[in-house]
Amino acid sequence: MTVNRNCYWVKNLALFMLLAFLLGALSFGAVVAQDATDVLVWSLGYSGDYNDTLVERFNEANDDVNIVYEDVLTGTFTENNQKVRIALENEAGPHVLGGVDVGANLQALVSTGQVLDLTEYYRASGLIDRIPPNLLSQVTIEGRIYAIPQNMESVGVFYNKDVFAELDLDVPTEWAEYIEVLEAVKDAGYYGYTMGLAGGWPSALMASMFMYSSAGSEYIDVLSGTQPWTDCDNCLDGLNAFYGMVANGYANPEPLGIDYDQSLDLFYQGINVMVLNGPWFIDASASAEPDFEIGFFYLPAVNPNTDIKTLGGIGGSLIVAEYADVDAAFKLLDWLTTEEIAVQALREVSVQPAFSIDVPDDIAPLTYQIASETAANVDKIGFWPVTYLPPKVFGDMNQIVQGMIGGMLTPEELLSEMQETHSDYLAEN
Amino acid sequence: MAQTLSAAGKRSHNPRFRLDLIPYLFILPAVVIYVVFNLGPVLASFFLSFFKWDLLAPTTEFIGFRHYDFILNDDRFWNALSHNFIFLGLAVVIPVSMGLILAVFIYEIGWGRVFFRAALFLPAIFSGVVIAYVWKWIYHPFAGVLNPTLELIGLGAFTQSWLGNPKIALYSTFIAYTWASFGYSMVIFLAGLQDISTDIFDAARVDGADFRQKLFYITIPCLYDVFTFVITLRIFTAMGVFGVIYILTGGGPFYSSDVIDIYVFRMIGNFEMGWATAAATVNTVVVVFISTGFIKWREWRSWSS
Repeated sequence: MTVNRNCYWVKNLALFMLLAFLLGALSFGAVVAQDATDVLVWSLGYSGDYNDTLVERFNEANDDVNIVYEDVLTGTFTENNQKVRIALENEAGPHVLGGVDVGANLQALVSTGQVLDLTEYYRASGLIDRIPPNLLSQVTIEGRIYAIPQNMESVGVFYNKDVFAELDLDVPTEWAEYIEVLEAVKDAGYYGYTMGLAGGWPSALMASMFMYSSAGSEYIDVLSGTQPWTDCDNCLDGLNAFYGMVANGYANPEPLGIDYDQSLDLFYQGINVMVLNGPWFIDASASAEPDFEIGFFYLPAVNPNTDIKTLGGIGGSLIVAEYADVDAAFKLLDWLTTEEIAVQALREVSVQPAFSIDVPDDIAPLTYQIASETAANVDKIGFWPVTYLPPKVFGDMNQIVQGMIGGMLTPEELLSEMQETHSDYLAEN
Repeated sequence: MAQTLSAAGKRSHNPRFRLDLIPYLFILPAVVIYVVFNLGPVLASFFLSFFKWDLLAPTTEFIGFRHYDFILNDDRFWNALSHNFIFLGLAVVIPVSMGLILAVFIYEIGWGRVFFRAALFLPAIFSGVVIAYVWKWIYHPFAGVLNPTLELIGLGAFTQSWLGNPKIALYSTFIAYTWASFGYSMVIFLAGLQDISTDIFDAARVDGADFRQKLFYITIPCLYDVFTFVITLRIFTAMGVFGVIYILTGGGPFYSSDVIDIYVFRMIGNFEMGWATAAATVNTVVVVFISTGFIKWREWRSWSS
């Protein structure tokens, strides 16, 4: 009996100590958790897996700031922009957000005071010396800087290396050579230019690519509304060159009957030989597993005197919400803008960072080539039209370009239609 | 007067009057849900159409009818509305006729009724998005089945860029819409047919009426109210068509298949809430006018005959 009573006593003591230990551990955890400042993040601006990796690594390395990651930006760009706008307006959104579209979207957020002015942060962190001035200008509004460009995109021609080898073709560097390549490809029974414009996208971008390569920064004046569309003769030359892809049989037939993704299938299947695309195409084409090797070159300029080499711009930017804890948010920005993270982004998701870094040469050859060429031509990249055009006008441009490709409008009529659409919008706003 | 007031005062104690409130209590949850999620947004949209608001700005500016002025002077708005009317004209004829013909067919055949009913209704249970993607591949100029099938049966001259040709893009989307919608008309007609007393058909048979006479003198007149319902339903869906067109053509090429809901959606996507709500309000007024006018006309015809 005595033994049993002692057993109960020991058991009760052990149980009490265990409970006390658990309570103590919980209290300690709570105290530690209270010390860490939560930073709500909806995206760090990269593809899903890399976002997860970054969050995990940051939280492991930092005790005082804790990223709370919510994967809510699962819709289209437009839907995501709407979510962000509404959430920020109601102070219910993320504290730090990556992958934000600049241009009209950033301007709208800034005009209502939803995002933090990062000008002083740029100076204090030295970031101002690492971001090329033409990129900085895209996130600067009325002399103040509101976002950090994360990656640089430049559009070029991805081509089927096997077909080029089969036809003994060299990579073209001038417009006349490009046309010769297109002719040779056409004669061999392939299609040289990939075009899928059903639904509108990416009609305006493709047309802009050719207008940039003919008019250069004059096209930026047109997009900005400081020069009439109809006065831009170089833009007309670019449009004629673009229309020539269809009219001369260089592009696949039925460009308005298939959408963008369906047109890419033609490239993966080896029916089309070249496709105009950005660096994100490296990962996309790897997933499609084509049975040929892919190469890359910049589209030769329609007008050799143009000061813009290619279309592209900022793929996404980091912003800080006006209501965020500044110290915690800046700690995260410090970490995200390190060279180590930028190089890792280049390795893992083929994103060309906007920060000045040395492109490592131990990465995949195609990634290395595009990253190097982008870095070498960063001051010769014409930004996305939507950076300058109001979204409504850009949306209309997609339809209007379809009109030209479908033969309903001549290139001259396209410019007139754009002038009317653009000026109507500006007059109303 | 005193007697009347007294009588009115006594009414509240009448147990029958108290009992009459109970049905209203039963429908109250549905009414609340309707007001909050249907009527409320419609009224809010109407209200917002008089303000300049880009979805983000905490303040709005009252601008009166300026958005309506812009919308009503926008050629693209009228272009989209005209396509809705074309869709409406086709929708009240083709899916309704198909639904009626198939309903009569299923009603008349003695065997396989359950199979045909299920098979023909099957497209209607799919989401519009799924149907649109299926048709996107059917119409695909290189991998689609439509053009090769036409060539196989000797109709190669009719092969087309079904979604890329601006002259026919709207009608191509209408075919997908019809495929998705005739099943609804069919089951409603079938239910209506089963409501017609068999005595009438028996009497007609005794009198020597043939199939055509039974169809035009018994079946169709007896389905008068069903027609009203089915056509009203088509008016709503044709004027509010969105998903199928959005996925197949996005309203293009060059606005050739644009409809009001895509026009509104494009405005919302561009954060032009004022224009979007003004266009939606105009569309609502048009739909209410057409559907109410149609129902009143049917009631008047029914009453006058």
